[in-house]
Amino acid sequence: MNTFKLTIDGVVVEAEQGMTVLQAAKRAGLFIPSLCAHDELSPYGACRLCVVEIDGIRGTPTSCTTPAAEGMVVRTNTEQLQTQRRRTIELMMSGHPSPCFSCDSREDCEVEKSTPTKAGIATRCGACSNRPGCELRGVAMGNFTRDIDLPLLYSIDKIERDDPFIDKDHNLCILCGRCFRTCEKIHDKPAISIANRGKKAKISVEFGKAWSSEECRFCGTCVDECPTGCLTDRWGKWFGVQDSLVESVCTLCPNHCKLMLKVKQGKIIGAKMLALKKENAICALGKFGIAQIVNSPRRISRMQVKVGSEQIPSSFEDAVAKIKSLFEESAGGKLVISSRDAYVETRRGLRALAKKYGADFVELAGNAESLDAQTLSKIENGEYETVLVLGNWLSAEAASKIKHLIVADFAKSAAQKFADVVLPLSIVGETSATVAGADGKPLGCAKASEPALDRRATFEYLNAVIGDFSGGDFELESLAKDFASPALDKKNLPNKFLGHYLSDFAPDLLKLGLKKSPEAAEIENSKNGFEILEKKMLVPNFHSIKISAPDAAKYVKPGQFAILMANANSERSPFTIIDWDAKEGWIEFIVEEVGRSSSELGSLKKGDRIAVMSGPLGTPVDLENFAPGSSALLLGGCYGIGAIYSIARALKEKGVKTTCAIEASTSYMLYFKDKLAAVADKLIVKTRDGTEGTKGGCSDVLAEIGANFDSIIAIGCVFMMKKCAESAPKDDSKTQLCALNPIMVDGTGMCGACRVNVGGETKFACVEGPFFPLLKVDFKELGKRRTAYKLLEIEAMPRHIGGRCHS
Amino acid sequence: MSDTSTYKKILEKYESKRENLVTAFQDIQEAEGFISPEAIAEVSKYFDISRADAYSVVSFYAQFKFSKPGKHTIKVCKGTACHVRGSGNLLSALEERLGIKEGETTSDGLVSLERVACLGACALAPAMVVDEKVYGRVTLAELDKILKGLK
Repeated sequence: MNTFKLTIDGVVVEAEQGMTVLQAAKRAGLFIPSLCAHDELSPYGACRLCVVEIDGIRGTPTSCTTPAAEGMVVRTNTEQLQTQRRRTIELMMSGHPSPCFSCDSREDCEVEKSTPTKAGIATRCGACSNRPGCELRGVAMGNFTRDIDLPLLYSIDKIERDDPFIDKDHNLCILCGRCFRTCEKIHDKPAISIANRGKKAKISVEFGKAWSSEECRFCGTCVDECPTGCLTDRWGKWFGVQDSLVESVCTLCPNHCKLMLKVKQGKIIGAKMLALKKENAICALGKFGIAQIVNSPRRISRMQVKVGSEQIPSSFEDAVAKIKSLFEESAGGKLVISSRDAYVETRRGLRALAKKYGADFVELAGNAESLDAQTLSKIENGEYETVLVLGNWLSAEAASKIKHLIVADFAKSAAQKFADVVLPLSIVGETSATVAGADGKPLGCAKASEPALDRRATFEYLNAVIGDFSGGDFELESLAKDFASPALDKKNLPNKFLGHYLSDFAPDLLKLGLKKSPEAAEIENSKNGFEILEKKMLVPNFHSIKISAPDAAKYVKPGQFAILMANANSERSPFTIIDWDAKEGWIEFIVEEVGRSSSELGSLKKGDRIAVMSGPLGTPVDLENFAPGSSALLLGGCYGIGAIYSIARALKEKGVKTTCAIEASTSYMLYFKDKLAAVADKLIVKTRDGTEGTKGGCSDVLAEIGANFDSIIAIGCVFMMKKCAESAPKDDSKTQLCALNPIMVDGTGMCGACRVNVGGETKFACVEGPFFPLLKVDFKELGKRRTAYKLLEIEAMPRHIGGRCHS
Repeated sequence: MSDTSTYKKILEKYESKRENLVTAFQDIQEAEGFISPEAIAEVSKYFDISRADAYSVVSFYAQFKFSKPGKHTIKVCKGTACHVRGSGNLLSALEERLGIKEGETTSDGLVSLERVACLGACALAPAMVVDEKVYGRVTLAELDKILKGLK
């Protein structure tokens, strides 16, 4: 390789022929900020951050597109370049949801909230899944002041959440072109490109259609290469950056593509291509499906053996002994059902098992519709006394005809309740085993994650039942030949894995044309619960939902809440009541999207039904403490803006002089200004970035004028209330309250999940709260308790467009 | 909508090279008045590029339209002189009367409304062009007369 020398910032560095100035700098360990540049992609020169000065070259060329040359003298960090970069970032930020950047409490807040809020829409860094790994943030932090002197161009219209697996928020896009350059590199003809120009330019398919209707295969590689949170993996994004990448094999279809599994804290959280090369292309199932299937709540994890008529959790030894005795002692017909989806070791083992006990042997293609008619009729006629089935191939009816049934499976199935033995299986990435490679040769699959609880590979059970079967007669065939690759065309995606409909685990696959299981279709048709009379998105991630609840509406008092569940499988979560009408029989809630349950509620529409509403709950605000003619200061942040409304209205009716102060991250997150102005004597507006009202938050209001009021109520996130407690007048004679929102289950004081520490005493927020003395709450403990289920909350995130998830 | 043979006839004239893309689209717009999804599909097939890629090129240029233009086209001048003489009011009056926004066509397909940078008729500000005819110093009363005359 020919090398030559050039000077960068006074340092003489060596570069190779064909390198750009940026690459030469990088090679020498010198840093030039850049976003659109990517080692594997062609130079593009879009982001204008890597600008440099070069002697003899006019202006400030981009170092990513300028070839390095012998004797060049380059400067990368002059005052002019710094100013230029700052301006460039400011321009990017003016369309970006940037309030966290401008906020003076950013550092404190990010210590408190170490992971971003799992909001539906990234309205700021604190609600953006990409915060931990954001390249824009990284570059901007080093080149930025907090002030942006440009108008906000944020628009809710730039958010697209209708495509499977991928959320798109063009507010965050910096048009670096990495996504379509990646697409072009892997698929030759890019399925996406930049449509329109200027202010309207955006990454898109033709005519702004849904990507699923077009050439996009949903390999999701563009998501991996996006330097901002514009393109994200809807479900997996909240796990953040992986701890490690493990090279393994996707076994969900016979193509057996090699890929990288993303692992975090021992869990498989996603997958990506082995390398940015055409031959390593993967499909939607590999990219998004694996993690959703492996972490699905439909998985089974306990070995069960029937004792009498009950299945009880058992040990490995008991399960093995039971299988042995069933096969050995059975006098009637025996059958072993295998699946071509299984590992080579398993398929060999099942053949050996059938041979040893003289059982019939059937092996189905993984994507098969059902068992063959002949075998089915034999089962239905009761000709088989003992059956071992790998996967979901037996209906409840067929299973009920079998005297002794052994089910090996990775997920729940209808047949399992009839089984004498249930064996939970480890699958993709949880098993170290062999499959047939595309060339027909054995291909080793590495284990990336330790299988949870009792899960094991089928061959591990079989080894214990029949001993060593490695010499068994089994010839490896290449399956890829009769199976077109879904990496090339999404029409080739398989419907099933081990007899299970894949859309049950990753419902977005339905949008790519996969079949729906009969079970899922049934759930969809059920209609129960409380009808939604009105549903509005007040600002991104914040919804008001009005439901018909004539019985409950009679009893609501200001400050109360209710437990809501979007559907029968949702988690129980408390939501604040903002309005109600006993005569008309409705209750209105404020719902902030922060996780699965709230996203599910947020995705409902007028006319839909909420499965559960239990309430009103909690002790209402004691209005006796607010004397007519006295003065009150109500502070509301985020959802608290909605929460203080009913209290402000009640105080006005009582003749209390009320001042409301509301705080939001930025102007586009403010709501209820008119409603609050109508019921308050004075309304103070604060934004963290100063784009409306004055810059700052409720705690600043308290510090400035808090002492002038007889009573104070603060409602908002834990951080906001903690800040308020710090700046509140240290005067115990005043009524100073906050409303706490810990994790709750029943909401009636039974479970104890909502315990909070108030002045050294343990209180239950659901019955004794939600209102407690602001100065006495242990906010640190509250914050800790609220994040106790952080990882589980991410796993539970909806796997479905719009969050209506039944899995 | 044209059948594919119309596109074939136009495209045959060009070698399947990327640099011919824009002129090919210009010919199609000349023949059809706009660029339809079918045209994008045929052109991308002919040039062996993706539809997103073809759309990216077409949507970059302001000269290409994506909906069938009306029988008549009204172009309102928003050049400096016209702007100062109130062409903004003219445009919003047209939008209100026609029930469409700038860049759209009435649902009966009669009128398309466009905004142009300068007609070069600054002395006549505010000016507008209906099909090929220039109207100067347009007032709202005249506007109604002009609209009535469109059939």
